[in-house]
Amino acid sequence: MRTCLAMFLSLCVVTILVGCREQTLGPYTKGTYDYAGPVAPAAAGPGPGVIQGTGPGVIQGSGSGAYGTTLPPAAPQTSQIAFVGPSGATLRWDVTAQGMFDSEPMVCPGRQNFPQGGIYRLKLTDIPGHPGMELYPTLEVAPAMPRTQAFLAHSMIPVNFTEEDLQQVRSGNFVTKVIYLPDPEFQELALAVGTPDTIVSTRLDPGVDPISEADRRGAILGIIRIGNKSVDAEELALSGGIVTNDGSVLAGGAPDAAPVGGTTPSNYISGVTGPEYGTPITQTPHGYPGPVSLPEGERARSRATYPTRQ
Amino acid sequence: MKLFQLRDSMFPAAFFCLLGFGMSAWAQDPLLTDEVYYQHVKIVAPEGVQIAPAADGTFIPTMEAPQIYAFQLGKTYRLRVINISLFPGVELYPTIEIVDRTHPPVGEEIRHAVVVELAREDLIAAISGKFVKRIIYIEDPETALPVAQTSELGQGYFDVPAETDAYAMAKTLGRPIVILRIGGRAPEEDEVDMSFLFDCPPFLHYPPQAPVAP
Repeated sequence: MRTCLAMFLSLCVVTILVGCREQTLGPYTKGTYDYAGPVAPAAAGPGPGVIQGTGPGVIQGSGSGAYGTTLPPAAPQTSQIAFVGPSGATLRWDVTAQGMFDSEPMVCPGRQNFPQGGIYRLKLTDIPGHPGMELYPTLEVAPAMPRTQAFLAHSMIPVNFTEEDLQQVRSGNFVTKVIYLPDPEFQELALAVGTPDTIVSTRLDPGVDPISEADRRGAILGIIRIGNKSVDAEELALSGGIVTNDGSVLAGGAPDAAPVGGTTPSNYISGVTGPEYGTPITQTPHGYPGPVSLPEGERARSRATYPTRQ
Repeated sequence: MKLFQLRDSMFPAAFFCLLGFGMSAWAQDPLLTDEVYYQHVKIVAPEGVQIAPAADGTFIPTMEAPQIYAFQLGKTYRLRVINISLFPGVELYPTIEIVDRTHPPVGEEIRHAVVVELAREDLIAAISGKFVKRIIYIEDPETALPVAQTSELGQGYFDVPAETDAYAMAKTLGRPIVILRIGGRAPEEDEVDMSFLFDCPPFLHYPPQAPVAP
C-alpha cells in the first residue's frame, strides 16, 4: 500500500512538472512535435506560405548534431598562401618525395593551400630580370591561433618576393620575412581591419629579431627565409623537407626525416591546450615539469619508513 | 487513517525518487536537449550577384540575390558569391555566423528577417586581399535614432576605428545578431573540405526550392 502511494505521488509530481513547463513555453510548444531532424523549425511556425516540414525547401546538410551539442566551428587546418610576386616567376614544391620539387609548376601570382604548422621548401625559378637564378626559400606556416582563426578561414596570406629581397640574396645576405596580422594598435587602415603586414629582416636595425618584432606587433601567420644556398635532393633528405612541428612528416617528406623545429608559437591557450601560465616547464631527469634540483621520483613509501629528525 | 502513516525513514527515499523522476523527465525533454532555432536572414547584394550556401559538402546552385534563408542559431555558414559586376570569374566565399536571434511574431519570421548586405565596396575590398568583418546588430531601443530605414538607402553602416573591436562596439550599441566576414580565400578545386565549409549545417531556403540532386 505504501509503495503504491509513493508511486502515485511520484507520478503526480512528474505530471505537475511537465505540465507546468508545457504551459509556460507558449505557442511554440503547441501541436505535434518531432525533434528528430529538421522538423522542429517547421513546427515552430515559419509563417504562412512557407514550406512546412522536410519538404523540398528544406536543405538538410550533414551537420553534426543539434545546437549546443557541437564544438565551435573548427578553423581550417590549412592556410592559403598567395604568392603575389614576382609576377611570372615559377614556384614548385615537393609532392612525392623530398627534393623532387615535382608539384605542378605555379606561375606567380597564384595561391596554394599548405597545412599549418609545417616548414616547406620551395623552388623559385624563372624569375623575371634574373635569368638562371634559382632560389630555395622555406615557408613556415604558423598554426592558427584564436587571433588568426577568423582571418585564416577567410583570407590568404600574401607572400611577395620583392626585387629588394632578390638583390639582398644575390649579394649574399640572408633574408627573413615575417608576415603577421597586426594588433589593433598597429593597424592603420580602418576600412578593412586585419590586413597582414610584413617585416623584413634587412630593413630592421642590426640585432633586432624580425620574428620577435612581428610577435610583439601581432600574430604571426608565416615566415619566409631566403638565402642563396643551392639545395639538392640528398641534402634535403638529411635535413628534412616537409615536416610538422610535432615531427610528423607530411606528403612529400621522407618518413625518416628529422623534424625541423619551428619558431612560431604553437596553438597555445593557457590551461586548455597546455599548462596554465606560470607553470614551470624545465628539463628534469624524470621528464616531468618541475625544478631541476628535485631528485628523481621513486615509489612512495609507507609513513613509517620516512626518515625522522634526530 | 492508515493512509498517511508513512514512516520518517521513507521520506528521503521518496524524495530522491521524485527528484530522479523529475530530473529525468526534464533532461529528456527535447525542448531543452534539442532546441534549435532557425534565424531568418535575407541576403541582399548588388544587382546580378548570385549567392549560394553550402550543403552536404558542396554549394547548392547559385541564385541571384536577394535570397531568404533560415540559419541555425550558433552556426557558421559558408556562402559562394559569383557574378560580381566588373570582376568576371571572381568568386568570393564569405561566411555568416548567427550569434543571436530575433523574436519576431509567430508566422512573420520572413517579414522580420535580418538583412545581411553584401555591399559592393566590401566585395571589392575582399577581392583586393583585405579582410572585412561586418556586425549586424539590433539597435538598443533606448538609444536608436528615430529614423526609418528604407530599402532605397540600403543598410546603414559605419566603420569603426582600427583600434576598436567591431563586435564590442556593436554590443555597446545594441545586440549583435549576425557576423559577416568576407575575405579572398577560395577553396581548392576538386576538394571537399568540410572544415572550410564549417561542416555544412542545415538550413532552410525560402521560397521552397526544387530538391537538390544528391
